[in-house]
Amino acid sequence: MRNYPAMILLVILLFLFIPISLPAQESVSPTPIAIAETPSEFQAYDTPNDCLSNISISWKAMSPESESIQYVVSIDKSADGKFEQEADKFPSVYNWKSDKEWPFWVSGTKEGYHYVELNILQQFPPLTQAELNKKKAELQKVRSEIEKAKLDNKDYSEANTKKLVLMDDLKILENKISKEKAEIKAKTYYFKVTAVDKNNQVLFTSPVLSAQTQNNGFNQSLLINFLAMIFLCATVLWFISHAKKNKNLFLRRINGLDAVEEAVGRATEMGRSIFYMTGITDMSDIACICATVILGKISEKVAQYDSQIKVPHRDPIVMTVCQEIIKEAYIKAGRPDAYKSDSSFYVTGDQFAYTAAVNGMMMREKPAASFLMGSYAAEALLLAECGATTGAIQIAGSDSTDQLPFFITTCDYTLIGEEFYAASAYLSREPVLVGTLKAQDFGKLFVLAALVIGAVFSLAHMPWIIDIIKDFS
Amino acid sequence: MDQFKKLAPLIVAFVMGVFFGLQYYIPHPFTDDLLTGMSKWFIVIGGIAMGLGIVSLFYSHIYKIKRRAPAWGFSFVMFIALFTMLGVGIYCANAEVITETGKQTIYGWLYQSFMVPLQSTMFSILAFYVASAAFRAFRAKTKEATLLLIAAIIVMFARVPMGEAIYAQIPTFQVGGMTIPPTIGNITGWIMKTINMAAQGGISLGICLGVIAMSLKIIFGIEKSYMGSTK
Repeated sequence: MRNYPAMILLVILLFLFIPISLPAQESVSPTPIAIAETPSEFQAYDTPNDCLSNISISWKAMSPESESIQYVVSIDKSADGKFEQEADKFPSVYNWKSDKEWPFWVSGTKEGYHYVELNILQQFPPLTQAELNKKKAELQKVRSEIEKAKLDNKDYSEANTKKLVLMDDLKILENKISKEKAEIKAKTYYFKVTAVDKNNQVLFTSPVLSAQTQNNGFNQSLLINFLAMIFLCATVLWFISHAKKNKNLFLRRINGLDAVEEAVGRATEMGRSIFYMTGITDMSDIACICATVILGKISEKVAQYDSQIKVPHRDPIVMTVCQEIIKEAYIKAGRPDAYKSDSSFYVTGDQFAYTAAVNGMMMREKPAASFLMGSYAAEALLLAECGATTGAIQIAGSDSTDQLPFFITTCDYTLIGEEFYAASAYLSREPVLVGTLKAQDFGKLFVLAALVIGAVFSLAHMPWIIDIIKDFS
Repeated sequence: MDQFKKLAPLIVAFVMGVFFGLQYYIPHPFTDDLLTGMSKWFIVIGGIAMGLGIVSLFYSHIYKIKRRAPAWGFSFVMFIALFTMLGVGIYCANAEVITETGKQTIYGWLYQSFMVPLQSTMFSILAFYVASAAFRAFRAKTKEATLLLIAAIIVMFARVPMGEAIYAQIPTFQVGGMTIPPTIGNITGWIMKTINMAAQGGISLGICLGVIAMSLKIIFGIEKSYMGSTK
């Protein structure tokens, strides 16, 4: 009879001992990556052309580089520090200096260099920042309490006192933070770049680099832009002085502006009003200023022809300016008595509410002429098409390239882009203003020449020339 | 004094124009802070000017009601809307109503229920106006208009799924590695990126130079009529 219990015990023991009896497996370590060329030319410097507290670090790429190799940029306040603060970490195939759109005189050699930008205030935020955030949250809470107490007609004097105390605290903290920020920015910081593999095994460590943030006085990447501006200013001023001497400068005919007199005359004959829109932008937009300037010239003609002008507005500041302009135009035309202060009036600030109101007025009053000058958006076609259905003679002038096709389709005359900006000079024929048009033409010639040269050099594989002329765009 | 009144705005325009023109080239915290400060001032002035706008609105509609001008009833609607929103904004700022979408302030509910549908209505009218404008523009009266019409048909054809589906039925064949006829997307892309962009680029160039010249005229006090004074 077989001894089954002994056999089972033997099998169990065998299973238990097999792992022990087998030779211990050696942990397979990955083959270390062989670096043919180590990273070099490490540099840390204040980021050029910014007004922030950024430090740039660049270095020549190593060979080979792959997704599995990562660069770790560490930062410390001391050169002898442990560099435990990791400022950035990225695979070695990313973050290239060539990604920065800097011209060659700012960036130097771009190809094959890694580039990292670190914000010092993000790395070492002011200590009082957390306290400031806490106080701000507290103030918000107290303000809500006051609002609620006001609605419930309850006494809120205690909360109000608390609010004032908190506001004082905030002021003190903000001053403290700005001082702290200045101190943080003034310090020198130290950096180390380390290349590691996917097991965090260090492949290479750079020497310690140091840099300090600085305030930049001039954005060097805009050098060509600045020079072009100086050149254009000088050209404009030269042509103005030239125009003063030679008063018979040729101006090509602009049908849209020649038709202004016809439109105003038509309004007088029909005994109907003229509508003038200055666009949807405010006085901070140059197109709006240009529209108000043209309004002055047209108002003068309106006063001479004893017609009536109506200028509905979306912006109260533009309305006030237009009131002054129309008044002045009537005085200039020798008809101050005919001026009506309500000719320039406010409608609403909302885009479509304004459109609805103006369209309503147009449909009711059936104006003889309608001028659409300035910048427009979606309301352009709504206004112009409504004007067309009333039978008004329509003259549009705009720099909104998206809306120009609609104006061309629906209006009798359209001043396209530069014609719109030339309108004031064309209507007044003042030599000084006409001189600026000549300068504009010269500028156009200059830019066209730059475009041709740029295209030729670009085809000839000379990318540096693009750095020089791209600012003309 | 009169001379000063005329000169002061010109000096302000010159100083501010030159300073903020140069600010673009100076990446310094000081200039950056000044620009931020000025932008804040602009918002403040805009807020104050809103009062002027409301006064103007008030008088122009009162005048219409007094004179029984055409459609003077709308002026009443304007006053009801103005005072309702003003009253709700001042006295019931935090009062809430329960709507289908959840809790809302009364002000928000009024805005959502009246303003938003009205705005949408106005915007939707645009579709009909685009159709009527297109009808006028695409009449092949001249050579240029015919070209415009052809280009528009091709672009429209590619933009609607049905057009694309119809075009896909046309049999294609390869000549020297090229597909003949090219896909409708490629033709449209070429029209938009080559012909359209070239024309837009030319217009934009003129606009940019116009803007620069106008800015210089204002900065140097050559163009003064925007101040209401031409002398």
